[in-house]
Amino acid sequence: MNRSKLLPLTETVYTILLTLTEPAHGYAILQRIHELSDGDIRMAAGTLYGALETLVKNKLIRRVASDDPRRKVYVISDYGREVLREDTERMRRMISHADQAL
Amino acid sequence: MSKKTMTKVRAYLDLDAEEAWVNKMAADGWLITRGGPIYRFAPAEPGHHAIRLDYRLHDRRANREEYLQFMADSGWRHLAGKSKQYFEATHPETDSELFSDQESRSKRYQRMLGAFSAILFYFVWGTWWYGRGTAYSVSTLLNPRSFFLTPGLWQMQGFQFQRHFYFELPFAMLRGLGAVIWPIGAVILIILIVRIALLRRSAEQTTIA
Repeated sequence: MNRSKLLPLTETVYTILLTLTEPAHGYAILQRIHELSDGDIRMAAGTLYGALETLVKNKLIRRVASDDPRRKVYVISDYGREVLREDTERMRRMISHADQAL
Repeated sequence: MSKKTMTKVRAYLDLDAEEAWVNKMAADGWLITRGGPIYRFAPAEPGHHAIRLDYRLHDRRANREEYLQFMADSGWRHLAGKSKQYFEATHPETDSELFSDQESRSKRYQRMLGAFSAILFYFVWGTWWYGRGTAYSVSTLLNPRSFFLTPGLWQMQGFQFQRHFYFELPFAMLRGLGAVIWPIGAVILIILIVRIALLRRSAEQTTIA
């Protein structure tokens, strides 16, 4: 798997990965995204659903066992954590460049 | 309202056009209860409804139930649909879009293309399967006599001919239909697939605008 192909992460993917450092099911993810961004990011249900499918396929997140079979629970994978860290580093470098330039 | 339900026959590929029509029906007091092409509507409170369309096929029942549960949790009531999904916002005053970016909106057409391509594959296979012997070719299709299998039929005369001819006619028609339905179906599907691909392209181009 070529990691650099996934970078930079889109805002949607970055935010979902960030919320999934703790396990959560679909709707809980939507609520967390809302809290995390102070309501700035409004992710629609259909968009999140499709994104979760893609992230599972890319092995950035994985499903974990849940008590409720009707609500799938997801958590970030080790690989996903690595990618998230790498993208955060990338942005940190950008921000420090920006701080010097501005 | 005198009638309990209303049936309407329509064929839509354009999800936005269909969405607009379904919402107009709802505004007039008819809420969708079954998806196309043979739509069914039940009486509902006329006025504003926020109905949105998704396109999604689920390979397993459990996955479909999980999908509908997630949508219900997020404020979307499933009205109808097995592949084309019709949802109504339970709180239409807040966030009433099913997709928050253009990419995920246009991906609906991508999934539609996948589903239609699978059916096309089946029809191409059928075309090959029925055509692999001498079941049909262009010359047999232009010669409908070949669909009659009664020995010596075309040498018969008068009443004997009529008796055998009309007896076999329905079978011969089925035989002919069975052969041509595959290539005709394949051609129709190719036309539909091209139209969906064009819809997807215009949906993707909206992103730039």
